[in-house]
Amino acid sequence: MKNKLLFSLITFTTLFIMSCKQDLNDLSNETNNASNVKLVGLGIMEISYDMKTIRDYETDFSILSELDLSSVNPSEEKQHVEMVLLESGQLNLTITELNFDKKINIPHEILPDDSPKIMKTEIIGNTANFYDINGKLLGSENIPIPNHRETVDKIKEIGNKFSAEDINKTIATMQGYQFIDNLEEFIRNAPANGVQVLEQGENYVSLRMSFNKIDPRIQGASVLLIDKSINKMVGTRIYDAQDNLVQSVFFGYNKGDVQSLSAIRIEQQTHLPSGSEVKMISISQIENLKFNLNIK
Amino acid sequence: MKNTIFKLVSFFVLFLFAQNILAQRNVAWVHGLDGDAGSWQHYNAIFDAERNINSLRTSYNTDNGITHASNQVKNSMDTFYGSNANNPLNLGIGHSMGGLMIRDVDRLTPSTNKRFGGYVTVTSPNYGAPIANSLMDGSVQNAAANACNKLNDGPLSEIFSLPYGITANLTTNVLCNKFISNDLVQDMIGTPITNYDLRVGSPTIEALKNHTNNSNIPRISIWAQESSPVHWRMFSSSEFNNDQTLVNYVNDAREIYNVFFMLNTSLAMACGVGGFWFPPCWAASALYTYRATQWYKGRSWIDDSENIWNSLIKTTRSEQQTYWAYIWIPCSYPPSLVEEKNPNPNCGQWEWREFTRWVSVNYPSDGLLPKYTQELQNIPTGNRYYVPGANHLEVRNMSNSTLNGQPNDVTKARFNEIFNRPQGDWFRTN
Repeated sequence: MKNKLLFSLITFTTLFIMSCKQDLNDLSNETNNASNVKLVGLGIMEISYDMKTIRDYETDFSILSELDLSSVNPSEEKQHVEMVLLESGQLNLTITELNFDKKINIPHEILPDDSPKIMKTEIIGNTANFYDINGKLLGSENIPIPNHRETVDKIKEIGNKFSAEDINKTIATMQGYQFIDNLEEFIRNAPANGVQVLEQGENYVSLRMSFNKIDPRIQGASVLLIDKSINKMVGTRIYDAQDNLVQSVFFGYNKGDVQSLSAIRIEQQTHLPSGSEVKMISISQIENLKFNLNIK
Repeated sequence: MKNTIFKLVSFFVLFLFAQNILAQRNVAWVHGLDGDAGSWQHYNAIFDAERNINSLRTSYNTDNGITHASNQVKNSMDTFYGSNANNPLNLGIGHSMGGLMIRDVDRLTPSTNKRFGGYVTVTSPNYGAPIANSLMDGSVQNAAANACNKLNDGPLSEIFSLPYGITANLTTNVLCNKFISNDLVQDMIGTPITNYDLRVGSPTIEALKNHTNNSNIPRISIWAQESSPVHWRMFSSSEFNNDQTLVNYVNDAREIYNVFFMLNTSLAMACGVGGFWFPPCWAASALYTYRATQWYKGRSWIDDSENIWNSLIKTTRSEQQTYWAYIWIPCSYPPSLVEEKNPNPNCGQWEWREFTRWVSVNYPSDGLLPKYTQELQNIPTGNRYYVPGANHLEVRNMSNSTLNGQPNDVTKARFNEIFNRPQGDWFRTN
């Protein structure tokens, strides 16, 4: 039974990732080219949120050359995102640029761009449509959004294995402690599945998993830091094939009744034109996160 | 009697014709490094029709430095205008390096045998072309290589190639290589002698500067300023003969990167929830977050590329700026299990924080040359003319240009202003 469950878990993850790499010819084509289509409410999985991201760097800016400095200006942006997974496996996405106060503004002294800006992007099927602030179509491109049919199947399995009440409660509160048994079982069987338990304490566990367990074509590994008290992942690190750290990510959650994701902090070394390295830090604030599974 | 009348009429016609020839002003339209005889065709044709001018427009070899090219200008004037080649009313109009060639002719000819009585430089690198310095010290190549890496990170993380079509063409090595593959930079790479001459601080540039500072020859400079994004607009003018098409393509490409950034971010979030039921999904979440960042780096490069290009053409400056940012401080750092020994007391919270740091600020250029080198110094303010919304190439023919959606042939307007200067002004040309 244990092996069966673990096999199922690994298979789910594998299929989830593999589903991103299906041949483009397999792309489903539930195309709907109408602008301003309300995407939420149609899919087996729906997620929407506002994300405000600030990007900055950690270095001694005073010693950088003009060229290096020109590539590390701070920036800030806010976008509203709606993603819908349809039963066919098609992923639709709508991204809308949002304005906000107190935006970081570099005082450039050049003439502004007078051409219309893309304010909204809709991905339906394998077509991306770009719209200006008035909803006027500015352009279209083909785009290889992979089909996620296998993910749909696995989501349906969740519906079969767990009660509607539990699923709805979890989604409504974004609290996963009631499923801590799943995690404990996973930890107990980790070595047999090539997952290394690095450290384990009362509240935290860190696990190391090679990506080739997910997809043989991917090198490197991830280390997950999981807070068992809330049954949530609070951090990850990504290592390349040579075991060099390439990225650290930290997740923060709201407190209270609805403990949804509220913060993502990503740190990654990046190269400047001169070849020297600096740390790029992006901090995203997640607001109005809505997640739904339509499986019952 | 009939014969007498015929002779008188013929004499009168010949007299008028001779007067007309004598009244014509010789104008030499001189192209720049990237140009040829066709470069000035548009305005030459307009003003040949509207003004009383006798135009010389031909091709010069610009591969062997400024003085080699300026000798060709001098020789072509001698051949074309003959005994009128040193007429003190001869006007030279030079685009880009063409302006330097005219100035060099003035520098190298004795005061008793000048070929030009005055000249107009149009977006010329009068005090050197900083892009030549950036090419010679390897900065352009470094910037392009860095760009290619950042643009490739996203597609490589997905283990698939970007799709067919324009986006694929722009977001593989093509987009980044535009930094070094644009015509102007290629011409400089291909002609190291000219590149050496055009750089800021070169002996020829210094000699021209010294000569012009001690010269009283009437001179005008026209400088242009392109709208943001200056680099894509200039490359667009080179490839598509308008300054918008490439901008549209790059905007689309930027959105493609943004789509994959947000798509992977959304999948990471979904897996964060899916981990409740299937903990291995959290590993997938880590992978999606990594992919999102790789796409984000490419998108950020597109956003920063104008600033990077401007630093190569030396139209940026460093200045300190203070700003506020709303940031979040994590408490736990994998793979460590425990919270930091002395964690920030505000960890896990959002807070406003003030930052002061050096930033890079853009200032005006035509996409290739900064304002400070396009404008001649030590001339009356009224001898400096400004062409807004034009890039280095576009300024030669703005018949299809628009600014804020309106026709914007400002170069033609500026030439008319120059030719219509008050009676007695050296540049006035009827």
